[in-house]
Amino acid sequence: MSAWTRILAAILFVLLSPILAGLLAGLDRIISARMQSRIGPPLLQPIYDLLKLFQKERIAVNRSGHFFLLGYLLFTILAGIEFFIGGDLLIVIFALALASVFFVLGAFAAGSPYSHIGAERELIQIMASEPMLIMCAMGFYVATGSFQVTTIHAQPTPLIATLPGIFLGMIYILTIKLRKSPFDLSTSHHAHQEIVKGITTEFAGPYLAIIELAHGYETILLLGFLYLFFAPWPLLALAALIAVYFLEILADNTHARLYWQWVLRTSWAFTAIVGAGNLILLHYLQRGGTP
Amino acid sequence: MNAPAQTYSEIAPERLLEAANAQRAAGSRLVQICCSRLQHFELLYSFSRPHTIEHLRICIPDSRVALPSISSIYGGSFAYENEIHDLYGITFTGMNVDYQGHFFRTAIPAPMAVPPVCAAPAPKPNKPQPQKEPT
Amino acid sequence: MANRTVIPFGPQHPVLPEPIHLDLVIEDEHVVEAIPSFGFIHRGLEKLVEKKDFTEFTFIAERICGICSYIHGMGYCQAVETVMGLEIPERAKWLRTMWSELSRIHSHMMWLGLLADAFGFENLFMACWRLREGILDVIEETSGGRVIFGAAKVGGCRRDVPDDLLARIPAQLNAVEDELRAITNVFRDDFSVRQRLCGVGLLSRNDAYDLGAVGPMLRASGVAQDSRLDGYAAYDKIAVEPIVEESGDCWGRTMVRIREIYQSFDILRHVLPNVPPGPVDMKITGAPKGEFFARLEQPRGEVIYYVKGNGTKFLDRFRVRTPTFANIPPLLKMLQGCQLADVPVIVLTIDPCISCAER
Repeated sequence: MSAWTRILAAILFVLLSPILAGLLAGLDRIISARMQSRIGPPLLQPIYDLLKLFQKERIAVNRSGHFFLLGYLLFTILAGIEFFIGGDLLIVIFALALASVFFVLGAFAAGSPYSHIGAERELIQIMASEPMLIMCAMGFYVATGSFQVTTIHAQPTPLIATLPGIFLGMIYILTIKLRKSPFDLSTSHHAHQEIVKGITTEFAGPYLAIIELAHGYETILLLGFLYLFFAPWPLLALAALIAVYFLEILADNTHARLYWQWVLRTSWAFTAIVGAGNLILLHYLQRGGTP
Repeated sequence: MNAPAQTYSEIAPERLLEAANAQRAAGSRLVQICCSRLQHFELLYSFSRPHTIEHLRICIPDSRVALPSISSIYGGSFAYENEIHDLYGITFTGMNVDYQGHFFRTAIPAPMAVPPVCAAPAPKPNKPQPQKEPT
Repeated sequence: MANRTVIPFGPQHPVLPEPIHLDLVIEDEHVVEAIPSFGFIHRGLEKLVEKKDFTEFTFIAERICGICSYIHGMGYCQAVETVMGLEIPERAKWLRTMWSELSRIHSHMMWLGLLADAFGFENLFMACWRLREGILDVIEETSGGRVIFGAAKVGGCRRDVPDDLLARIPAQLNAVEDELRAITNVFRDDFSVRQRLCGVGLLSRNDAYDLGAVGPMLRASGVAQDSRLDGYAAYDKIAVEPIVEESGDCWGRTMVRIREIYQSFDILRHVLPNVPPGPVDMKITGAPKGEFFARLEQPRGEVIYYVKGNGTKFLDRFRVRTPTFANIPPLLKMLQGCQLADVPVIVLTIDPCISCAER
């Protein structure tokens, strides 16, 4: 990739992701509404919401909290840029983890008991999802011999053929990352939870908008991860992404919220079985293939 | 109507614990405790077994008379006793859970301890009005 | 993380739109103690009885609660009628039975929705509330109102229901019931729902009885207590079997309420064709003198109305002991030692109607 295309990719990611994520969220809300026999909001509602949040008054509970939020947004964007310019997958994952930590710190800084518990639960969710992300990078490495997104993207055969387990694991943690039932522990899309809005309780107006924005970037980035599994066939990849997202909405609408213990237990077990299992098998097959 | 028989019996405040123990021994359930502010204060303790409801009536002249709590016999009675304390200002001694007057948040202490404004001729109009003070 | 924190729960809490405040003392997401306080919307309705004509007070009694409104009005009327020695017309008794069963169904369906909302199952919540509209439509057709419908009066009912309408209702109810089966199956069988309900908020039979639990709370702990057995209104001519579960957890309470909905459908199917002809109200002369405790079964459990009359139009004392109030001590007991995530579910399984308890 030339320097210019890299810059172009970065600019496109920064500009287009919020719009794309907004449309996706709008579609999500419409489909959820239809599943619940409702009409639902207009497609552009999440974008209207975001714009409106930016116009609201700035009420600061705690200044350092907002600094942490900016860190969350910045590092999510950096992770996304690194990914979409074809950079190092490990850097992407670490930047993303750092971003989540900034988010948690922001909630801890707010000092309300709801956001404290939300933050504790967010840490648990990070613990639940992070091993699978690292496993995913390892899987790509074992399959392609590189951590570079460009190399992984340029594979002639789709990686889904060799890494189906890793793909399933990624779908699983996507549910956690998208905050869908049964994993909407730290905060959920509606406030009907014992800890109110959990980690985002104390943020309002433009600060809440920053969180929404960062979440949008994160969603696009994670979908990018899934895209890599089908890279040689873009149309199939698109169909797979739509199917996965639909599955997430379906899970959201057919499950109750569960406990953090359950989430941690199952996601680690799932990671160990499908993720590690896939890696070991792949390693074994490659050794067998080239004695 | 095959409604259960209801009986009312008046007892002295000192015999409350004894009567509650007897009800408990008979397997009754505490249905409710009701306080009425007439010219005096009247408390009704209702106990129920499948086909009877018994009401024990206790009359006290004013809210400064402390009553024994029956929460050692019926664990759930603390809700009623705290309610009566907060709304009528009657003190119960020995409650298993005592919210110290913070169970019902009222703007004025003991708001229901005002005697009825009823237009009816009061049965005992000459009785001196007790001073209602939160205890 | 191991130090104690106090989490305020209510009176403005999105998962519990009821004016109760609970201070939850928690340790590592485990509730050590719950301290309640009430009085945020205490309206002094019991005191208001001293200034209102006893017949007019029916409307105030109906406004004690926004959900179980009808049974409040009816219970008050029943207590006054007993004090006055009135025997109301037979048709009025049957109509009262019909409306109280309709109230029970719509209250339980609303509760199922709220419970689903408490454990984060929005789809189920929407489905329950959508179906509940069908019952509200029936109430609207028969009485003109939807939730607070003012159909009770001292001496009978405020309006008659035409016979052809009574004949039409069973079909409407059957349609609702058919759709409801699909929803209640989810509550019974769904994996994630069972995870959230089974074994949560255990209340033993002895605790339930000692702490004075009423209604589905008591019945889910294995005590067969149902005030409808007392045979008020037309219940003396209808066989009502108390619905009992043995498990004593949130799931048991959910099951009791679900089975009660179907039981109410059965009762209605029996009541509707059998409403006898005749007048629905009677003339009232005189004023109540004496006292009486009326005991009725609300959707939330046993409710007590105490009326003390002095022979004038104004009562000396009117007292309601609502089921929610009686269920507060067991609730506090269940909250001790539960997980924070279970608090909304446990609070909801007593079907809290704090506005009722405040009066």
